[in-house]
Amino acid sequence: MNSKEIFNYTAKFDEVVKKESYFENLLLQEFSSEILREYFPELFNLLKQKSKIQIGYSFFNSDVVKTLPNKIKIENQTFEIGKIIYRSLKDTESVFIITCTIGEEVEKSIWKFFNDGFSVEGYILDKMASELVELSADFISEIIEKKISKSGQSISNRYSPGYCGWSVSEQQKLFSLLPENFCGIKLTSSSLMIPIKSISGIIAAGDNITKKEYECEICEEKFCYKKRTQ
Amino acid sequence: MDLLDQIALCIEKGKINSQSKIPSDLIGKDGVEELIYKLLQLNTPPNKIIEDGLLKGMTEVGNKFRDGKIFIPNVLFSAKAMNHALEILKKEFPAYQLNTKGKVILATVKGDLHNIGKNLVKMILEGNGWQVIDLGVDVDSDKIIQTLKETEAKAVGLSALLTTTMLNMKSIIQDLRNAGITLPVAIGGAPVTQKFAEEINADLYSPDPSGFLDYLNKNLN
Repeated sequence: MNSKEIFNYTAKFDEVVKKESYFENLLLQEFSSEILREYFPELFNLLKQKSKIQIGYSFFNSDVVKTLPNKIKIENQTFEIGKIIYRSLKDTESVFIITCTIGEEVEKSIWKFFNDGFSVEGYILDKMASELVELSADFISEIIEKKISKSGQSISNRYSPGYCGWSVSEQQKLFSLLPENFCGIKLTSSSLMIPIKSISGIIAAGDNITKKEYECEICEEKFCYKKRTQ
Repeated sequence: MDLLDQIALCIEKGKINSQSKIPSDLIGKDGVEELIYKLLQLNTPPNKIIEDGLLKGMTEVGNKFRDGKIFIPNVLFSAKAMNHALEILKKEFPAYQLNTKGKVILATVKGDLHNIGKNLVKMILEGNGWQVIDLGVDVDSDKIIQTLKETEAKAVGLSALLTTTMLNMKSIIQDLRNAGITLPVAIGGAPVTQKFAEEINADLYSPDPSGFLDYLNKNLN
């Protein structure tokens, strides 16, 4: 692969969401079946209709990637990833910076529901939208995994600024390594992505890189909300 | 059970009207809509309907949510029934001013875009007579200070979901104090703890909306 390679793709909803029942099963953890019968079909169609899924990555090979204690350097940017993520990435040989989004229209529908007093609909759609962007990130991880496995290497979990002790402000550095407006995502001055339902992060690849079954296993963060839900 | 108790129960169960399919055990029975009109036919004053019926129901919702007896979807349905009831009262009494206990500013802090927790607090506070000024997500100190200058808010509630963004609560509280603002600031959100609240000089930490509501009702009503 070249020292830097860009991939950008508009994914179809059905490519990312393999089974409609995935969302139903997810929502059944929180909502009764009577609520889902009433609300799910219409909201699922709305999600499908309003979402515009864009995924992409920028690949950086070993010529421009270097790990330092609790840090990773990609081209001219040094990321303070912290000890939790560093433990998983210290054997990194190459890096993919990934982004994905489901666009702004779903978010607008969520806000409209809440503003019009339809909080149940807003809440359920918000849950589905968050899950859809996670599925989109999983989809790009699968694409990368297929690509990298051809060379016999493995990939890591994906790590994002804002999680596992990596400051959200480092989004600025991350996006400086991507083409402008990549996947249609922009950053605010406080480093949040617009559209809101977007994910950015890094996936490392290498001979000695492994994917953890569950990412919280590597983390000692006591107060993270993910820990509290386990 | 008298009509006011029935309406309180309908708020608690999120039963809007007799057509509502949720909850399934009350299908076909009166909801807040029918009960309000029955109460109005009996010349029940709107403030009595609100205080002895609607607010009683919402208080129960807050308490049960705090105690883990009901969950987010139940709160959403109760808030929906509450909004529906208030809309009817506004329509029937256009000149009637709902008594509010005061204004409260809510915001998810700078760098954080998670709004569900904040929205739940908003529903519980509004359902219990507080007027909420919702500044949304990714909110900085300047916006809060500016809003405080323009309104007569009695307290500020800050929310964060991430360990990396909850640190911004500290700088917001410092900025408010530096600007001479001494109003109580409450903090909440999944990673936040009582210890953290003490470290950053927040006036209150509450793991649930009811704790904040109790604080407001007790100290600022």
